[in-house]
Amino acid sequence: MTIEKNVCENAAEIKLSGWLDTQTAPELDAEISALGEEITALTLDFEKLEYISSAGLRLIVAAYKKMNGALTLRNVSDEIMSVIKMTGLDKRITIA
Amino acid sequence: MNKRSIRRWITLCFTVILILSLAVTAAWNYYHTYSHILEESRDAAESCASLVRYSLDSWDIDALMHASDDEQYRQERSTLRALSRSFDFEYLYIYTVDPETEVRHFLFCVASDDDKENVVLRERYLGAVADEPLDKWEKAMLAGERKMQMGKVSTQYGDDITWLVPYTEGDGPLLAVIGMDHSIAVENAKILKDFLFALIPVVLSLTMGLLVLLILLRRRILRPIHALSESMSRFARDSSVKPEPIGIRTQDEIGEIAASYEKMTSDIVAYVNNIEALTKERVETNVQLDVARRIQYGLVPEKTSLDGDGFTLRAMTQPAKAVGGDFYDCFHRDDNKVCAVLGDVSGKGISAAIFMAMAKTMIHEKLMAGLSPSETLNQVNDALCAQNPEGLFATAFAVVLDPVTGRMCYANAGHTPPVLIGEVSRFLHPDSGIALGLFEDAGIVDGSLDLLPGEGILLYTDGVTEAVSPERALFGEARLLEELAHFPASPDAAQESIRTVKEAVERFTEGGEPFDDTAILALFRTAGDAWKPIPVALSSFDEVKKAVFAEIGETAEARKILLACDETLTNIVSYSGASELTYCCTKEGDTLRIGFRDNGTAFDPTAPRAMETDFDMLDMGGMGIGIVRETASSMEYARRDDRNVLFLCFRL
Repeated sequence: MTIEKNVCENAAEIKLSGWLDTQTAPELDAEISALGEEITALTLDFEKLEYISSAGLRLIVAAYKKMNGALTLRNVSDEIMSVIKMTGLDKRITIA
Repeated sequence: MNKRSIRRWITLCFTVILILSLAVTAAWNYYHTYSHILEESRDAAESCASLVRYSLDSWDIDALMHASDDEQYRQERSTLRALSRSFDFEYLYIYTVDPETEVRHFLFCVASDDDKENVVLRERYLGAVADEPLDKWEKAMLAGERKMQMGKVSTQYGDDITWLVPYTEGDGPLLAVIGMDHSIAVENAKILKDFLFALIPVVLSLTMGLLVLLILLRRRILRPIHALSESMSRFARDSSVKPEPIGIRTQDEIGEIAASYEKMTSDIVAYVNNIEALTKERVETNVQLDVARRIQYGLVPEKTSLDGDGFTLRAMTQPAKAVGGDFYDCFHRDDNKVCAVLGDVSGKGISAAIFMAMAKTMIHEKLMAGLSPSETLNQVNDALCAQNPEGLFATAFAVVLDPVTGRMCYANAGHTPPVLIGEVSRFLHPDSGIALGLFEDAGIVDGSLDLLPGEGILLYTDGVTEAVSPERALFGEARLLEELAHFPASPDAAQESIRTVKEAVERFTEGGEPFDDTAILALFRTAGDAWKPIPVALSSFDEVKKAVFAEIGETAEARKILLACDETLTNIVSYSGASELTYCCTKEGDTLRIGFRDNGTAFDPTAPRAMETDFDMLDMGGMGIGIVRETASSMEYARRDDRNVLFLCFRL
């Protein structure tokens, strides 16, 4: 998995590509933890994400909490969407 | 062929015989008559000549030549004429032959007939000269021949048999020649008359005889044969109808033939009718057996193999000459268990085949629906009892094996006890119920035992134990167990066990009745060498990933399957505390089965639990099992040998 992070004032955008599974989840976890207090909104771009497991979903929930709900998922493919729907995350998280 | 050809042929033969007989008789008669007439003519000539010679002795021939037409000459002539008539000569004449000039001078010439007499008086008068060249007899006489000569001569006086007699005095020279002619026409008429007289009675008697023979032949032989032949050709056209009696009651051979023929036809009619009835019956039986065989072959293939993770199954039927009622069935159930059934229907023919089809289908359906072997057999028994007008019945043995745990559940409905093949093979003697279709309450109960990897069960029909050697000995259960006693465990154990039994029975029956009408089924639990050990680490996911991609390719479907694997693996690695982990990945038809086995704490992910987790708690975990349940088509879990065994099945 590769992670591409862009920070612009108070907002951050992370572009993910490849597999976000139990093995790679800690990398994303580290990136999100590294975000400073000033960041109040996070956008995750899943355009090039091929795979997500519950480890990834857990990070999404954690990020959602950290941003106090200001988390947006962008460019979610049907395949990833079906996994998100399986756990009901789509009910709370903004998916653009 | 012409019906009357024998009659024609016989008539032709008779005609030929008649003509040949006549020809021979005629030739014989003609020869005799001719010789006789010639003999008579010779006798007449000799007698006449001696009389003439006697007269000539008293004459002076020279003087006579010059005597001219005197009284004495005329008297002599009339004497000669009377002589000629009395001997029936046409002409009688005396002449001299001049040895120098070879000229004939007639002394006398007389004819019996008056008209001819006038002619010769004019032409052959006393002293008349005939200068035709001398014939060979006259020359012989001049040369000294003294015997009477005979010749057939044609002259102006007609065709004659001419007798020439030399007249001499002692041994002196030829003085005169005495000639006597018998007319050939007259002689021939005489010959013909005699010939006909001799022939007519022969012809008449021969013809009459042949006619009588022909009539007798027709009445006694031809007519009966004709009647026989007509009757035979009628019989040949339709040999199922007894012909009318021919009515020949004679005591001869024809009568015997007719009597034999009548007996033979009545026998043949009886045989033909008998054979027709038998043939009809046999055709019906064959049609029945053929239909039954088709039903059986359609339902029970000769060979079957079924393999899956943890088990291998082989079955075979030995095709029977007549249709047997042996059947077997094996299939994979949705809950990943293997079902095997082997049975034997009493009786043969269509009804037995249909009964077998019913029993087999019902057992299949009920086992498939998840019923236990005893529930299945008891319910099938009830159904069969309810509709079994012919009182047929079937014995059956049903097994359900969980290849993962090795637990085998079975029930027996009056079938031969199966052999449990393992380190020490033994007969399995389950509580046996009554055969299916006999009584409402068959009392079939379940039995169970655990098969270890490498162990198996062999089901068979009584065709095996009741195989008969040429010495009329039974193969028997003891011999069967002996053959399977020390059976080496191998991946081909199921195939090998069947082959061992089949060959043992074939050896046993060799030279006797052929070994057929049997079914054998072997179900073995295998060691499951598809299991691969992997480290108890998250990185093991990569190996699972490779395996899944290798099976179905890098597709969205594969990623979905891997999601479930990922979650399961994460759970095991993170929470079970396992120190040892194996997995397997097999594709069976349209299903991909992935198994995980670990020695961690017991955890059944299939157990019911509250799925609704608070959103705020989601980052603490708890989503994984939900995802697995959502993603997998089915899940199986067992705790065995202190290990968690979980199978995830995905319908592709």
